[in-house]
Amino acid sequence: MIDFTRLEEEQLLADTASRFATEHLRESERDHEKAQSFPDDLVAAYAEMGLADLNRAETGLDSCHRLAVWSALAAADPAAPFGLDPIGPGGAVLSDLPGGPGAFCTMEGLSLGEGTVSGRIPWIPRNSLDWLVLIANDGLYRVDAPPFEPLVDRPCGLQACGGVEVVLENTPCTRINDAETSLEALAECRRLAAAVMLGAALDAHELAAQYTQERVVFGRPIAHHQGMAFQLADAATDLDAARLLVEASAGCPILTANAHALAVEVADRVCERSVQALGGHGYLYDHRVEKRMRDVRCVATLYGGVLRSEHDAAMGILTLSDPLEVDG
Amino acid sequence: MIDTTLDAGFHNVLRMMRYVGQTMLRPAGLAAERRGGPIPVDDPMFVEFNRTGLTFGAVGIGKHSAKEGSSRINRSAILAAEEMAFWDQGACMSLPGAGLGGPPIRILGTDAQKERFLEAPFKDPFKPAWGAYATTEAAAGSDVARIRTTARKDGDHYILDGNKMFITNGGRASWVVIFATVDPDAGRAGQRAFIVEKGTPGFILGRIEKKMGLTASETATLFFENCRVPAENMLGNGAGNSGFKAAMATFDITRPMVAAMAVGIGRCAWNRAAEVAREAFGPHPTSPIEHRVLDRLAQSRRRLDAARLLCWRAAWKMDHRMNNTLEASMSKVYSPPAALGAVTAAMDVVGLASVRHDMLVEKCFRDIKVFDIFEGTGEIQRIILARRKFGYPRGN
Repeated sequence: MIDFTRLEEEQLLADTASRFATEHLRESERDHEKAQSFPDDLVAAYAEMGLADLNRAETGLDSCHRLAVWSALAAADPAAPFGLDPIGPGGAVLSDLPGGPGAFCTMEGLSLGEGTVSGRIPWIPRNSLDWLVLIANDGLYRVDAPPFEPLVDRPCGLQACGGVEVVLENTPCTRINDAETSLEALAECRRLAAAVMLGAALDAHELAAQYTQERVVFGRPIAHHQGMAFQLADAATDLDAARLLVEASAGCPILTANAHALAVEVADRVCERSVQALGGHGYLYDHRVEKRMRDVRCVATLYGGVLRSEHDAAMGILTLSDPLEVDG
Repeated sequence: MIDTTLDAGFHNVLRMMRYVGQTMLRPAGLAAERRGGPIPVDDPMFVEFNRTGLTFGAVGIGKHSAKEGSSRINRSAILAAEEMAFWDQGACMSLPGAGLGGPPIRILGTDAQKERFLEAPFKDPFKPAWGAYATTEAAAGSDVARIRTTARKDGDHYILDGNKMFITNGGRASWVVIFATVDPDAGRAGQRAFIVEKGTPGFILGRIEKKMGLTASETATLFFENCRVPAENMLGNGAGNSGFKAAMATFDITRPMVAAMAVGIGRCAWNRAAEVAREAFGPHPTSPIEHRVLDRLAQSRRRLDAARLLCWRAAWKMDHRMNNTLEASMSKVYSPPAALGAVTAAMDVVGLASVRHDMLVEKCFRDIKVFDIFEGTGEIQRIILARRKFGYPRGN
């Protein structure tokens, strides 16, 4: 039909998430980062609003609902969706996940044995883990009560989530689903990661736009110099293009991989340019653009990272049909 | 939630465009390439198009204003624009009809002018006729306030002096809408639009330009030397600046169309490269270079797909009577470079053979560049975005 109307429920959820982000996240973002955790009352408030079940298959929500919420949260604090949601990306493809915190991970650095898995996951943005779901080529594998250790030093970004390392040595795992579900889970993870990156990058861009219209150099606001004005115009366009591509990729893992790759490229560039727009101030903790740049880079490494999405997109690209293909 | 499904109505549009593209536009475009010049005015293809009602205007550019048409018209037109450009944009631009001269007459013209210039010349399908639109001059393109063609009142006539450049179908047009100034110091406020008919003394065809691409389309340079035009040919009886603004508003319709055409050309090259890759190593590559090929194709595809969505969004907003100036400019900023990237990647994939005429991709390469230039350069689009979003001042 070619329709860009936002569903009423989707808009309602996005508004709810934005309100929550404004009231609870925006002002205390640095405090949460410093504490490397979100306070219990905040986690409870998030759950009370019904957002904690967002990634549960039982809610029956569409992917677009999750994208809207995670993007809105990420604009206020990119760590928030990962830190406050007990399930996280991927959960919507399974119906029997436990209540405690867990995570979906791809198989980089891991190898499967006979009912076991070995290897090391250097970083998961969590403070604790009750379960892991591994996204393998032939299906999803569940690891209950995986051994984990808190990271000794702070990770580069998403610090409010904490951070753990997981070392698996012939740890029991159970195959719980097939290859198709595995592909769906990976696609869902990529879409939500992309939503977070683009939400965070949009916030960085808006802050840069505001700053450059206020700060005067050589007699006029920075944004009124063509060199900066064009960069801002390009950033706004690139962000819209990437967001539309992510939203439109639902239902096709190859297109999702391709959209994720574009989202990483755009979000990285927009955040870096936003720091640049603020000059030396952008490099300081006084402004949040430096944090957006760090956080986005860390999200970009999740779920196999951009290299894997680029690879998956490339391997499937010749199987896609012409976008304007018609019958007859 | 974005819905990008193409329903039966859109399929019908695409099916029709595919048919005419495959059977008429592509062959005509390739013949023009071999000839090294535009499609001749007596080409039987033009009569065929006239008989089907698919004129330059009916299939996209310039046909519909924001106040006209159904709620799907801009989306249908944008699909048609991409699909026709896929087959041959130069041939598409050569089609008979009012062309880019249509919108200013529709928006600014009196009823008598509409009848005389939009209806009468195009009634006989066996006599193809063209209209044209002329603003750009050798020394003024993006900055239209600087145009120097003058219009001097002389009794019940105006006398035009000056030149116009890059005029699509300018040599074959029955009439041309000319923007001229009645007061060079007044900038846009001094500008008026006139319809100048072919054969008017002082209306001189300079030359048909030789271009890098879009060979099938005629691009003319026109001169006006003491050219006497009846005052009744002034559009809208001299609507002045408000009329000029209204004419500029047509860009909100045409820019996404032009952006979609760029996507169509990019898609054409992409498909050819994908065919070559499939034939060369099938869907499962083994060597590192084959992986690089697929990676380049995936990169191009993601940008083309994103560009198409920007175009569709701009058209969708126009269909819903929403202001789409930002979205139109975004589509125009993004699509031509995305398409150029797709075309150059296609040439890299096809390799040495890509430079040959018969592989089509080199033609796409020559055709695509101008899409970042006409209908407002990429730089102009960025200025529009910066003005609207970041307070970038006018006259900066």
